[in-house]
Amino acid sequence: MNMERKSILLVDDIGFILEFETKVIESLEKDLGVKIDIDTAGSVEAAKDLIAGREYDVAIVDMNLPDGTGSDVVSIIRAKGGRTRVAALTIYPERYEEDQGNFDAYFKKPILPTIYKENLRALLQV
Amino acid sequence: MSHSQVCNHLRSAALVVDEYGRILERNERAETLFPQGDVAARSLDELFGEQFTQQHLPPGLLGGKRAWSIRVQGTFDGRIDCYPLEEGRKDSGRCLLILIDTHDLPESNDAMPLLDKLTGLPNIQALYDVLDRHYLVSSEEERAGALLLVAFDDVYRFDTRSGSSRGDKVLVELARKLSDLLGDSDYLAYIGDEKFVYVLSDIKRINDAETFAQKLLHLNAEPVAIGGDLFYLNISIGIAFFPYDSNDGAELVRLADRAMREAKVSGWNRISLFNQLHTDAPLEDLEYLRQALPEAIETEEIYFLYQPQYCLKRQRYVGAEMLVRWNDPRAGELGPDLFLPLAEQTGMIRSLTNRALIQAAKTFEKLEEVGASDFTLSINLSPTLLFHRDFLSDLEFFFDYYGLRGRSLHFEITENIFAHNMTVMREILSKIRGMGIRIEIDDYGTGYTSLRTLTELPVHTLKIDREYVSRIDQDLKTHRLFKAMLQTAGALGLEVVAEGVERQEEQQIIAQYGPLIIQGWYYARAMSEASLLELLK
Repeated sequence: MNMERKSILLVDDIGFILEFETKVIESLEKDLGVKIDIDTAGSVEAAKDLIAGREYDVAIVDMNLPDGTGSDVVSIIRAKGGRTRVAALTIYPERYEEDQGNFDAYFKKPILPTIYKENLRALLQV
Repeated sequence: MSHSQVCNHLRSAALVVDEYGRILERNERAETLFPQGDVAARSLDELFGEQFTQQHLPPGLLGGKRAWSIRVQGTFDGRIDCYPLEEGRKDSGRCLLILIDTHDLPESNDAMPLLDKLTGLPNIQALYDVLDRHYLVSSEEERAGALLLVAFDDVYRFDTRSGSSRGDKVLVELARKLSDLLGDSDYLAYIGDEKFVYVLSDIKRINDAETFAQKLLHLNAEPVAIGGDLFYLNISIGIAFFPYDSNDGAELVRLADRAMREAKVSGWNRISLFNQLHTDAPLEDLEYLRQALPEAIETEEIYFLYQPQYCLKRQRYVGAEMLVRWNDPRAGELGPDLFLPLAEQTGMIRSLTNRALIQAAKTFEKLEEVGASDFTLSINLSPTLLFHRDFLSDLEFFFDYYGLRGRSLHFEITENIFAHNMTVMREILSKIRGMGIRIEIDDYGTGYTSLRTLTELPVHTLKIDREYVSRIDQDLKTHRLFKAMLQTAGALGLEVVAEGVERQEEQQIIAQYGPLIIQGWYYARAMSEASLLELLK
């Protein structure tokens, strides 16, 4: 069977949240019958390396990272070009109004599984 | 000094001032209102004195876009209505101040747009304006306070077919009585429908507002006397706090109104708080916590304690209730009484419950490692959550992806939830039961669970409130009620947990009734996960 494949980059420095997101994405995979590859990065630097090696369908980026911000990550993605759709993960979407042009969506924290899935599905365009 | 057109056709005293309070124009009435004042005064400071203007007409309040109204006492008694003047379509920085002397009321109709005709108090429009311009201004020194909505029950029932309205007279008298309670920086408006609104800005704690509301109840206990007739009235009071509940005038009135309706439903002459918080904590702290909570939920600041439950029949610990705690770096250790209402209000209760479910999954794994695989964990469930659109789908996610399926999970719900639609309730609880979760009725005996409710819903356990436990050795009636509850549970095939057992005397009486589970300090205090695992080894 030829299954559709999608790829997602998760950037967050808190393991508990990466685990949460990964599980929600697994549950979306099952709902949609789509295979989704997940890469994770805990810092801007780690994300930079991954972005250099692959064009992701979607990146979900926490705004607070140990060596920078989510805005730094989205700049790296935009500088590379390509069609990656990027969501900022934040408690305070209103604080990042100036970055609105760079992000395709805001995902609100704390994560709620059903809402996260709905938002991600829209962002993946599946 | 010129007398402009706009000033002079008004019968009330009127001034045009600029944003610094310099007087540009005045009418004749303004010159007679302050016989002792300086006719040649060039500013509000000179006219009223600096103390008065600082209190009622500070420069920051003048100018701006919207009309407002404020009640004053001192130099003269009455109200000041302020209308910003426009030049073309731009703010001119000038405004028209109309000074309404209480003695002129109600003949002086100049300022009627902001004044209730009957009571002479500011109306709802004036209230919104003064809230937005004066009380809800966000500045360095943020103001905090309370909005009390005081509703009287149908004063027009006193009207007779002939003659003038007695209801009207009662309302006017009420307005006078309520005005007597006003402090210097307070505000009172009549918003129609027999509803008055107090804005209290000297409120530092939620309890202060409740104290004021109690004063109103006492005041209302005295009948209103009009022409030899006495009128007894019922009131209901709803309270909302700013900026804590909302920073929007209309929203605050709506929230206080909602609380008032709750007070009304629960009986006459009651007080109800929108946020359900009864605390001595300063309002600024609550606002801080409300903002800090979303972040705390994703950290170790939010953690859980375990209150073990001992089974008398099996002679061992069989389960634990999970209790949420918050260790805030600034505020310290916080109990759920303080922050759960905040979580309810901000929607964070869903994330808190998710945290509890994830924690339960992890604890179940560790319990299995120490050989306690049938140990149960109880999580408290908020009624608002149960009816949320996403509740069941979120729950299924945690079951499937965090490994909760097949675990001994219990949900505790309070009796109050049975006030909701029973059909919906039965459907949701059945689905939960179908997932293998057991339903416990928390605080049993303090609410309104009917026997029929217990038979119709898939309830597994009754947790008898500690109210029936703590006096069981001293009060025979309590003892009998406790026994009756056990018989009810027995007849319906329900398990029983006795809560809050602390003393040996309590334990001894309860133990004679046999197959019970006991929760309380007599057996064990709430403890960390590590201590719980140690206890079970």
